[in-house]
Amino acid sequence: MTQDAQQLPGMISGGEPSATRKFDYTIIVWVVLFILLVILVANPIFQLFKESFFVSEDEAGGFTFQNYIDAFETDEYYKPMYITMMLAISVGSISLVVGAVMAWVVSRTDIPFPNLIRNGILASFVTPPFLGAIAWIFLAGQNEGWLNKWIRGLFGLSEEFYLFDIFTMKGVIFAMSLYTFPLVFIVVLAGLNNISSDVEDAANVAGGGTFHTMFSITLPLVAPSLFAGFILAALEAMILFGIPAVLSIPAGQHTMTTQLRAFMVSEDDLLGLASAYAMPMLVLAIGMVWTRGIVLGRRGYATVGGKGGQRRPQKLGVWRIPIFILCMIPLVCAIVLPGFALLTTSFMRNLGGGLVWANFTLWNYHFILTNDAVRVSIYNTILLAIMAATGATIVAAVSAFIAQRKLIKGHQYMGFMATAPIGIPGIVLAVGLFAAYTKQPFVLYGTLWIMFLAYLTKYLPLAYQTANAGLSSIHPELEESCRIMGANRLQVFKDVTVPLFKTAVIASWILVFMPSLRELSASVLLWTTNTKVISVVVVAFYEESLLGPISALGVLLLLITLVAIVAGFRLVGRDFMSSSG
Amino acid sequence: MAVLDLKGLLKIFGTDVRAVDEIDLHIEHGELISLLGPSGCGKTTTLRLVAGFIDPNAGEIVMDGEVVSNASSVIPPERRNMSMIFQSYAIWPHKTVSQNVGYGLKFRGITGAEADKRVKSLLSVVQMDHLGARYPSELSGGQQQRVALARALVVEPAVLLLDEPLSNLDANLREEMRFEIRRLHDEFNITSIYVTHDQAEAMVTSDRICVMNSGKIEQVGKPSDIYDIPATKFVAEFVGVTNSIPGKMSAPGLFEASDGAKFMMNSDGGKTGELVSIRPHRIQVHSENADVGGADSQNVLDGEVTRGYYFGSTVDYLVKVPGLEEPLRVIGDPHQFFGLGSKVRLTIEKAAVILVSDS
Amino acid sequence: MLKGIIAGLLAVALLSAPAFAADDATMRAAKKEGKITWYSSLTINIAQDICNRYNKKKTGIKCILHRDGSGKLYRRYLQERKGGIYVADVVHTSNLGHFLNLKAKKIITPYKPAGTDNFNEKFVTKDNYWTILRAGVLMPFYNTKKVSEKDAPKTYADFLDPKWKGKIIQSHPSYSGFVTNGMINIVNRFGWGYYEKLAKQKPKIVQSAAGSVPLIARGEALIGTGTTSYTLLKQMQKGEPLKPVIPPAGLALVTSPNSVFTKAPNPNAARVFTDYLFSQETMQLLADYFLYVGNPNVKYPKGLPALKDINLMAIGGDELKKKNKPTRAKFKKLFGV
Repeated sequence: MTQDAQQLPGMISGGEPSATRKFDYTIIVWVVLFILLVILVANPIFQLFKESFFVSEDEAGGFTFQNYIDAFETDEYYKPMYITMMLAISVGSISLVVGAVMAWVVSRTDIPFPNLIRNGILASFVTPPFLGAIAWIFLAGQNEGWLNKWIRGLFGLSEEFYLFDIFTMKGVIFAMSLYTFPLVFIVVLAGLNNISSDVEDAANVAGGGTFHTMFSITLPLVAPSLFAGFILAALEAMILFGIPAVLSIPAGQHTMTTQLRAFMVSEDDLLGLASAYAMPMLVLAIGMVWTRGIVLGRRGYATVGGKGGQRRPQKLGVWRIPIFILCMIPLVCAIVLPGFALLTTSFMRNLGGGLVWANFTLWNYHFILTNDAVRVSIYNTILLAIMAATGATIVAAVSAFIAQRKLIKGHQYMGFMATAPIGIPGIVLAVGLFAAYTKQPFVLYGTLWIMFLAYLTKYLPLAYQTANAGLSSIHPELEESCRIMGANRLQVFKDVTVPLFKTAVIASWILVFMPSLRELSASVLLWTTNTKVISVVVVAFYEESLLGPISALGVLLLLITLVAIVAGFRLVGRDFMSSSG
Repeated sequence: MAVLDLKGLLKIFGTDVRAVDEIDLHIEHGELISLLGPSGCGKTTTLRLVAGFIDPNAGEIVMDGEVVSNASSVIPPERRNMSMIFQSYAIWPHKTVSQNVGYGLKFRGITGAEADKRVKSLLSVVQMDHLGARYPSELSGGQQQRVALARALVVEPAVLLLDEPLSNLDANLREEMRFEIRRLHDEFNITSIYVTHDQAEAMVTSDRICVMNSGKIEQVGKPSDIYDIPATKFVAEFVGVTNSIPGKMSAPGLFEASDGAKFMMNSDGGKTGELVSIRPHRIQVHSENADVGGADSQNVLDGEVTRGYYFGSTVDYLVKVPGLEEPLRVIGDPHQFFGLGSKVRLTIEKAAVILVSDS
Repeated sequence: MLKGIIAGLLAVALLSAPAFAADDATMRAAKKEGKITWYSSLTINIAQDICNRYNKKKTGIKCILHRDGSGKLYRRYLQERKGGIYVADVVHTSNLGHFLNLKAKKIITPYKPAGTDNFNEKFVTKDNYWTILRAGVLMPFYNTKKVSEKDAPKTYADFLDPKWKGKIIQSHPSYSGFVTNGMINIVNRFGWGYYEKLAKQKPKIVQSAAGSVPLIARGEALIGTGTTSYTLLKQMQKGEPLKPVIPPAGLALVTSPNSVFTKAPNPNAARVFTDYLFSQETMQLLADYFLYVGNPNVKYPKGLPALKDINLMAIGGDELKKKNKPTRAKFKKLFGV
């Protein structure tokens, strides 16, 4: 019976008596949020749009369509778009198959060590993709890649022979898929967990075997999740900068993100061209997020058939061990091999010297720890990650609280505002921020603030979804019952709201902190001398082929991430990384 | 220990949704009154107005002579010395059973050994004394409900508010908890308001029932009055099953249905209305042409069975009667079963025909 | 406040005064500024070494290094200037053409570093807008473990042999002034046809002049079309299996200027630091790193061929300025990135 009251518009739950409500604070909250949204989203996108119609020169230029003509008529600029689409579709499809099958295996079968697989996938999810790509150069370089050498040795093949060549489009697709399939896994797992296994039991009773049931019953039921997973993976492949920067530029192939960055770092002023070039990416990305939203519905989850119900694992029989080994392959490729490659390379004196004691050195670590750029970047990375995590969590927690508790007029638009930046690719956002805040009167370029804005904008939707999910699990009656027992608003907040909301807040903080540690696509356009972060230093080192120091830096970054994850597990419990849609 | 008066209470949501539409209600000290009605009738809003969670647009709530709510000032919930039981139990998941129950005591200056003693004694009243150290997630739904009851009662509130407390329980448990709530009320004798949409629950637990519809009070009375002498068509149909027959009073003590059938009834006391309500179990079924006698002291009607369901303890018939548009629903004795198409004779006491207003 | 005004006046006086080496007054003002930011395209380990050595001296001035490719540094400075941000004090890249632009717009200011009077005349300028900090040649090279001396390329044309297809590394000119410079020289000599054929060899593209060295040392590719001589020779000294190719047609000489920015936020420290760059100590350090310097008194390490022994190709700043952009555009057309 409470719901009939709650659905009515304008209702103020637990409303303060009118006599004591002296000032309408609605207006302040709205003004603050409005200004924030203008700074974070509206102004950068507007400036991006504006710049795309102006001649960019170091002195001011006039209105023109030339940027669009250049961007879409020149073959060299047009080809990266085609390549990017090809990448998105290939990576999306591969991730879909790998992610969906592994989700099914973990959720529905009697596979051994399901938690090992789950945690392995989450680990590949937090591994910086650009580090994975660099490690794969050591593993699958055409001539000296360890895997190629190993196969040559195994079969006594000639120096000319190679099985893998990472510097190809296939290599790029492979490396991207390794780090995007977890997105599909997480979405499909959530979908699967919402279906009762009764439907599968019914299929078994009707005579369907384990695999037949999976293909004819289970997977079709989670079709919305599959589609959403594909969209997410394809979108990620489209907006990823690190892997193509590492692997496809040497292969003589730009993607849209690397081409965009090439415009931005060209010695000519190509801001207008870059802005025009960013437009199709922006439109496509928003379109994809929008489509995903429609398919999944507003909750971000596919709900099928109500409650999860009892779960009876499907028997894999003789396939149990082979499937387990098959599931371990992507994990070994995504974490174990790259981790091993980076760790060993970081201790090598000569890169061609092999794994022998005479080739051992600490020089790479000495180099990075005495390098100005690295020292500044470690400090900046951690500071920025803390700032972004704290900022995004505060904004997200306050907006989610207002939205859920219907505290002010227009609370229903809170969620929209906090998740508005969701479709904007990081690198496009960075071009917009660059256009907006490198000129008077708001010069933020050259400060950590512009990167803070980029991170905040990029991760606010994630923080909001996490905080909102956490808050929606706190029934308002839990607070009202506290009230009627004699506690005032402050005591209710202290005794009930905070303890119950705490977990979601910590989870949201860590979920922003971790990707902030490795943020690259926005940082790579916004960094300056004093505002380097680890990820851009890795890319800068890579461009000079300083592979040893990169490995050491990579090991360092992985260690910091590991500490954050362990802290997360301790504070929130194991599920914190899958708690958001 | 309190007397409550709701006077002209009005609550408008948005611009024109009159969720509670100028109701008046007097609740005696120690009385348990139910607010009964369908979803959206305003019963929960009324309860939340009494609790102080929302403020009225007009009217006032008076508790022991003191105005606790009116349009210009509202005493906040925590200063009303009330307790409330929620539909979702609202047991705090991060506190143990004992901590949940004892929470309200600190605001009443009761701490230490005295608080422990009260918590223990209340837990034993609700038969939960062995589970004080448990967390709510380790309890069943019924146990959580008992914790909610203990938590509400331990502070010895002046008024106890119950918002559909049993709607999340399964059927067996719900029946058991009805009696439990009535037992606790008899033991503690706290002025209580009980919101429910389940008429059986209201019947079992309440001293008086207040039937609400569309923000207005339809009827207030003892459970038996509500059932036997419904004031309106809505009450007659919402509380139990009934035959509603449209028509008009053609003479004092005589009601004529729209299609011509006539019903004698007891003195109407000057009531007006365009409907009579006849409960199905107040109609007796006899075989065709049976000698029922006294056609002037009771209504006698002949008809044909168009449906008969056997329930073991009763038979549920529909009987088509000439002069009535709708067939009459009749609850009959299973020892004498009439098959489909049987001609039957029905008798209805004058007192069973109740004139109701068609609102 | 008064201090600020005095420092400001001093700075103005310095800026308008003829360019002379820093004196005691400058030194005091520089210490007050406390730091200097150096935009440098010199490869990172050498540039960082210079800064670290300077910082170890505890002069009260901290050297902050910002290392990037010539093109990126140029764009970054202009972009920052557009936004009214002035971070950099001293600039050093391998694109003389850019320095001509900077001079034309008075973005750099004349300064004659101390101790450069006796320098090789090719390393100093009359107007002192810049002084050449170091010079090098763009050297083709190969991996000696994978390629025998007999098979190794001897001429530029040998790089077009089909047997090298997919085994070559070419550095991208967009970010490296060194590479752009070398390319213009080779195009002058052989025409664009040379690069059209080279593109068909599908070389791997790296984004800096030095980037090819570790990859070829590792054996990931076998031959490189050209890297900075100092990087190559230093790695050879460290024992990497590499060897230069010195084609009879000659090698492109690249001279890399160093200037002080007109709007340097730390004008005095900029001058003090520039003096340090051209000091005997740093000159010898650069020589030890296999770089050619203007100071005639340094000792060059074993393995560095004397400039007079090499057939040198060279272009002037004006030509570089003119051909810079078309060369990069043509490269993108041919090589795809």
